[in-house]
Amino acid sequence: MKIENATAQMRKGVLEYYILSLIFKKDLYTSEILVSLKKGKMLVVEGTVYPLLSRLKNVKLLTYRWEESSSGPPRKYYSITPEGKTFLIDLESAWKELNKAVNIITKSKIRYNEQNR
Amino acid sequence: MNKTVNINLASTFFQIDEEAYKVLNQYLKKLEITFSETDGKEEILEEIEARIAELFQASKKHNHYVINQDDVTKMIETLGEPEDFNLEEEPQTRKTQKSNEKKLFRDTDDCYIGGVGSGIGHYFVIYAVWVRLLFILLTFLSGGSFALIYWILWVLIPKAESRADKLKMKGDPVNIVNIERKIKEEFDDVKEKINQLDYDQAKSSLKKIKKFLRLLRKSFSPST
Repeated sequence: MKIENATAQMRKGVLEYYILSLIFKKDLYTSEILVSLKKGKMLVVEGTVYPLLSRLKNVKLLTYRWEESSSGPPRKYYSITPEGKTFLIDLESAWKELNKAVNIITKSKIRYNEQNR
Repeated sequence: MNKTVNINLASTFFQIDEEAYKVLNQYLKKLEITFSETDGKEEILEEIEARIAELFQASKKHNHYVINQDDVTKMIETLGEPEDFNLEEEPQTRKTQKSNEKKLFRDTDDCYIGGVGSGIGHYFVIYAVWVRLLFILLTFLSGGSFALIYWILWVLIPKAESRADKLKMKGDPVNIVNIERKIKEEFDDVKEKINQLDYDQAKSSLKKIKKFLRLLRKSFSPST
């Protein structure tokens, strides 16, 4: 199994959580979302984001509006809906639990290695 | 010497050379096929188109810059091939399994009358010639009444219209790789002809040919 595949799966799993958290902080337009995702090394290809945003919008976790921009074409600004906020809170607690569980296992593995040295 | 094509992406005007245009066109078609079953397909494609325009705008060095193949390749690298988009996998696999089945279609790309013979040929994996010979033989033996059966089959069997239909007709699973191959095949077929003509001219003459064929078919069809 390739390490790239495993990490891609990990990223894919938290991508929704990441995007919702991002938009929760501030309304963003698509290119800004892309920039942040790239900075966080969350993306392999940009194309992944468009169907995901569309899906989040279809299940009403996100909405969007058009805004004129001083340079270039109008921008599509995404914002989070009340449903989206509730969903995000649930995701957050799930993530914290997962994080804790994974941390316990990974830490104990390191300690185990040290004891056996 | 290279021809350039004028295109309009998300209401932004671009000049693009012919080779690059072909690559871009194929990429857009592939995207369309990828999202053909997705909710909000138009919106997704619209946004991707806008993003392509943004990326092209960034590679435009001056006002009369012509987008070339390198720019298109770079754009595709950034956006990624549709296979790498990581769409939800489960519903997709279900769909491909379903469409693996072979279906009976009329093959109007390879036809003398209505494509019934070649369609049946595809279905039973035999050469269309044998089906046609059998039909002609049966028509003679039945004193012409078998022509009516041909006519009924013509009416009942749907025409293979989309690329997916054409793949199903031959029993190929409908997935991106096969559809891409199909597009390429079609493209090579018309490439020769289009090379001589302007794109718009070619479009209008194709329409005329289609119209002519339709008239021809009408005059051949038995009037009952």
